[in-house]
Amino acid sequence: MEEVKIYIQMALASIKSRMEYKASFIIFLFTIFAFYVAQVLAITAIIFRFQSIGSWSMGEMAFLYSLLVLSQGLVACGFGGLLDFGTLIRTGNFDRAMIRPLSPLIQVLMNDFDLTGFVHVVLGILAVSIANSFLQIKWDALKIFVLVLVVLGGSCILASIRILIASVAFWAVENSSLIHLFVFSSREFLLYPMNIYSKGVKFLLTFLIPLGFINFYPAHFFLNKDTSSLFHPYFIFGTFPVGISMLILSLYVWKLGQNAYESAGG
Amino acid sequence: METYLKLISKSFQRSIAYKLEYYVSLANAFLYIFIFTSVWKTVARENSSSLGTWTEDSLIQYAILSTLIKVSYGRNESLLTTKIKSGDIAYDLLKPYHLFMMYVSDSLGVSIFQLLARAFPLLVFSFFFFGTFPHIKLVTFGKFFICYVFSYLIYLCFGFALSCLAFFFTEVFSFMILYSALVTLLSGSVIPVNIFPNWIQEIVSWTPFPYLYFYPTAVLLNSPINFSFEKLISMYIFQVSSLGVLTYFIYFLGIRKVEFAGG
Repeated sequence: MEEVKIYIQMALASIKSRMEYKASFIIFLFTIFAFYVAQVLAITAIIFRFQSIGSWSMGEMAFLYSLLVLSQGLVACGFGGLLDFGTLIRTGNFDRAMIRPLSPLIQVLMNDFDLTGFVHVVLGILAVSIANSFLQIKWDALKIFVLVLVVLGGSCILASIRILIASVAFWAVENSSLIHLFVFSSREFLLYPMNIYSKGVKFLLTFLIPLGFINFYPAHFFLNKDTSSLFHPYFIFGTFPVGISMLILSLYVWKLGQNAYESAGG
Repeated sequence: METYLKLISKSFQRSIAYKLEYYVSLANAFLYIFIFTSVWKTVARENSSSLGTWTEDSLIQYAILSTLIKVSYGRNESLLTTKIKSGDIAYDLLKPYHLFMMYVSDSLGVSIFQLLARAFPLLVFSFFFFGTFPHIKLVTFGKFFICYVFSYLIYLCFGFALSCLAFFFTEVFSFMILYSALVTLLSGSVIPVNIFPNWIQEIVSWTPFPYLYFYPTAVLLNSPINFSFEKLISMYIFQVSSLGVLTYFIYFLGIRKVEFAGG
């Protein structure tokens, strides 16, 4: 219990330090929001002109997007510290986390807790409302429960990718280009329905880097879409179990990396 | 001149130094090409009646070329911002070169590397991978080259202006994100600007953004644009001069704000 209190204090300190420059903080929130709005408008322009992308209509695309940003929001808040983990290794600053009687991973996460990630959650809720206005999804207790599981599972998948890529730094030290590729660029795949990609890419996004479970597969459940073209119809319920399995795997790799870690300091 | 050539060579060598970075960045650029071509292939097959002057092939070629033009421009926004933030800019101001020319030289070195080592190999690979080759005449290529040079000048002005904002603000990352947002939506790097309704195209054509990637790509592919090539060049001159003046203004005001604590 004492440990949890310390972690909360670390997260609060991180939030306070980010909010020290209030104007910068507010401008940052605004620009993050503007960036995502631009991304959505670009997709909207395509659908407006061509009616659908891969037989996914405007409302369905909005729902697809909402599942992505909701999961992303939770990860952006709690796992931002892993994006710059290579620097902690390179400068030897990770040693400080290693000598304290606390979990090194949670220290790294809490030291960089980022409240701006909640912008994603706001965007996600907005996108769900827009999707709902187009599709009139009938929300019952089961669907809400599954939505919560899907968002949690999706967050676990995104978080585990961050942990895995951060773990690379234990051996390779420099991992910034991998972060860019696996954390930011690969997410672009999810802005569009996965059925527009070739079979090889679908296989990759299902079995190797299971990003498809964040929004594409679960969206079939909520939108009652035909599942016959999927690798398996039950994949639409796979988000949470896949997320948990990925998280366990990534924590194992992190542990291996931590054991192999040799300080950069001299 | 020799100083600037040395700076170009230095930034070129710096780009070569990180091999893993290079291969991952190749994969990264191809990933974007792959996603955009998949989107255009799908919409072209599903809604051929809404294509207008576009065809499936021309949309794929657009996705490849616009992404590669973007890839060929070397990014170095952090060069000045970190120096301004840390105070190291003082050393640069003492050196016998102009800050803007130093920025341009550094950017040129990175861009030459990007063009030769990333854009060209990816261009060849992408055309073979997607099996589509645009037929480009020499005259068309000449027109494209003029647009490309102007477009690069616009890119440089944006980069330098954004960097100089560090003279006024502690954190310029937000402005970079805002710039990225506008580029995503209006530059033609994701969607060709002539997909938008006419009234939006008209407004957008008065901003510098479509002159970055849309017009050079459209000229190279002989895609219809709303005005003649002569008018396009005069618009380029207008955009480059306006941005140039604005950039100089930001730099001039910024440099006057610089104060150093002696020791």
